[in-house]
Amino acid sequence: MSQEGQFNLDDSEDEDEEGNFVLNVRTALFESKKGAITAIGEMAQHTGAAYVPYLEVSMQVLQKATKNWHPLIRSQAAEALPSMVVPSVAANHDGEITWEKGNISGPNPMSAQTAAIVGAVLAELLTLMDDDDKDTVGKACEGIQSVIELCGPHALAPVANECLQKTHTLLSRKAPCQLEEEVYGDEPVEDEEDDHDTFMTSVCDLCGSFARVMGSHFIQYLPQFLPPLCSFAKSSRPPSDRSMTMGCLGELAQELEGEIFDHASIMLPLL
Amino acid sequence: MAADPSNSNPDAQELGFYLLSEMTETIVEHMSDQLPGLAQLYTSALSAETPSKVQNTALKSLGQLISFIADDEESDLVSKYYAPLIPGLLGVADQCRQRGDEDIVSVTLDVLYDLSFSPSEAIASHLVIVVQFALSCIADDNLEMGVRDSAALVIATLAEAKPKMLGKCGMVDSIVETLFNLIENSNESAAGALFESNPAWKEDEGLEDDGDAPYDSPTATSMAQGTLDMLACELPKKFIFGPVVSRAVARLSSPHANHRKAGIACLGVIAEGCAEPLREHLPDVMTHVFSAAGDADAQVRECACFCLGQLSEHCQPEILAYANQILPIVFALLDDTTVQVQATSCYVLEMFCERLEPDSVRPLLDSLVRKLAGMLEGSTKRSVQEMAVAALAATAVAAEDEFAPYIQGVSALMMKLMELRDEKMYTLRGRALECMGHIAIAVGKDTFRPFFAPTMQCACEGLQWESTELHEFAYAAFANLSKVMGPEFAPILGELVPHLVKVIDTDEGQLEQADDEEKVTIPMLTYQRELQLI
Repeated sequence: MSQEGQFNLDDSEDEDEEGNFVLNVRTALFESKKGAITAIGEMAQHTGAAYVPYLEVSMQVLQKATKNWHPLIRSQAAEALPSMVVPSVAANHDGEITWEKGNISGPNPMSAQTAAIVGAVLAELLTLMDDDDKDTVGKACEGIQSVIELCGPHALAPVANECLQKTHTLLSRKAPCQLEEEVYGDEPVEDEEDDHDTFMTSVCDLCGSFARVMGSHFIQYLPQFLPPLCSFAKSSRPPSDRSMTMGCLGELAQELEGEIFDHASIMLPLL
Repeated sequence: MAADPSNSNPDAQELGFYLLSEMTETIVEHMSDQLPGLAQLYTSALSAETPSKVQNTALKSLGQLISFIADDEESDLVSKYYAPLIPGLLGVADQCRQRGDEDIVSVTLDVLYDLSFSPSEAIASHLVIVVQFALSCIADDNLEMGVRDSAALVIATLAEAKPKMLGKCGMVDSIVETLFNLIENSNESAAGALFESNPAWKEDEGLEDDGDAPYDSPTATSMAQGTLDMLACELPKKFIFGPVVSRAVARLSSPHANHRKAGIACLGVIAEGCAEPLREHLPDVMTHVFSAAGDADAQVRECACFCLGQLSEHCQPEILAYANQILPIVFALLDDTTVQVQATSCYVLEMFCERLEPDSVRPLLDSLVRKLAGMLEGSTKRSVQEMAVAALAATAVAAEDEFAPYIQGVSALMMKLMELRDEKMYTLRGRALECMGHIAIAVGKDTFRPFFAPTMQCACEGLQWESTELHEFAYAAFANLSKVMGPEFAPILGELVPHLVKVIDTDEGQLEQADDEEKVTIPMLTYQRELQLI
């Protein structure tokens, strides 16, 4: 009983004005292409260092897939991309990178190969955070989370500003995927009638991940992040939004070791 | 025409509007300063005094013009000059509907569809009468099903493009009532969503395609269910949940079986879109579902089964708390005399068991596996066989390593299915492959090792045939088997990765020559650029 938004998955044909050419979209290919992307991701994730020789070619097609016009394909690419980091970590770091929370002053624990793949993967995922498909954005956030938690603050540092900015925009409900109402001339969102957006859970999880990886460096951003985050906890919001916010605040409190309470004056009026 | 509005000769007026239709593109692109004046012309043409043939031609011409300028760039123009024409246009269209003039009704519905996505105020300021017109078309038995379906598409599109506006306009109750009426006034099964998504199963229902009817022509019930599903998914839950659930509950206590059928079916239809409020109210909802599952009427039981499947799919994990009640009910329904109920029950099991923990499935594990294996061997219906395999796969996932004692027997069954080569049996072959992948996840690397090679062989063999469906099943098997087998999967990477990379790199759309005699290359390039398919 699922529907596919404005894209029709039935085999479609379109004819140009002169009637000379028909556009055949082989829609059955979407599903098998999606399956192939999943398979590539799982194989990279689980076969370890043996996958390294295939990383370059896999990255090339995944990068292309992130620009596919169909959201199903972009979303699947977002899901597979973080797995590309795993073979390099297996080959270069014996499966695990040891990193210290919030510490980027020491030497970079990532090998040149790992750093290059991490850079490429994060660049694609950051672009996908601006996608107009919510599911794809959610997958991109999850992907960034898994990469920075695997590789640590050195992985996040080069893109931290951009990543924090985009996450803040999403929390503030101003990202491209949240502006549908304006495009089609619908009324603006009001809390009382807004429903829980599943992908926002991934956005909140990414916030928790920033605290886990950046440690005390994240505290300076709390004044910006807490107001939009706490707006999801208002009594007018759906229960799932409120429990999502509580979960996120709990995680921030745990990761920042109580320093979040210094900002209680921001939070309390918002809750 | 604009120069001589006093010309009252209907033939001349009709001809004039024909000409305007022909020139729509030219007018918009080169004479856009004329658009305000033209709006005036259309206004008088749609008035009650105008002869109907002039009205109709004017309406067609106006429809074409509005559709052409409904996009973003011209939306201000539509709002300012053409929005006021909507009531007149709908008035003429409704008279045509009452006269059975489907051509004009279709043109009007197409315009409303185009306007649904437009940011202009043409629809926004007249939402109530637009919905009323669409509903009168949906409910009109005298119209062709295709026309009624276009009207349903207008409602569904409004739900998608303007969910808050539609929710607030005060028409949701009327829409839901109309959809309920369609389902309860029809004798069709309302549990058919599962079967509809699998056209190949039609023969199992004894509904062989007679070659005349369009293969996927909608029925009143499927149209109503599709629209309700869309409303539930798109509208703010605050506006849709109450109107549907209150009607469903009221119907369930009706003495008429058709009403009870509609009530329980609609509850199932909204499960995806309204999963969140349904989870909150699950205890109340389940009371009604269980009572419908024991209804004296077969169609009601069938829909209850469909509803259970929907709730099992979308209300996880809350639904798992009802395992002790759901499993015996579904288990009994597996013995039902109708193919639809058997297959639907397997679907419920598949959806329900997927997330169950070993503790919950343990008491029923042995009888479930035996029952499903028996159905698989005993049934000749593809729908039942396919769904039984899917349910076995889900049972394995739930049982985890407690499935180990059954792996030998179930794998033997799957191996037989994995040898099927008849094209009609590809789905069943693929389902068997999928089941092996799920069993691998359930029992883990060591127990699965003896079955790894034959499963991979079946998956790879499928890649050599031209069936995207088999390929899809193979890719899912690769994903699951690599997850389970880890580094033991690595030796085949050299063969598989290039194949997968090629598939991901393939363009899913391409332009093909429709007519060899007229070769034009420029439009092709334009298309490729616009659609970013290359």
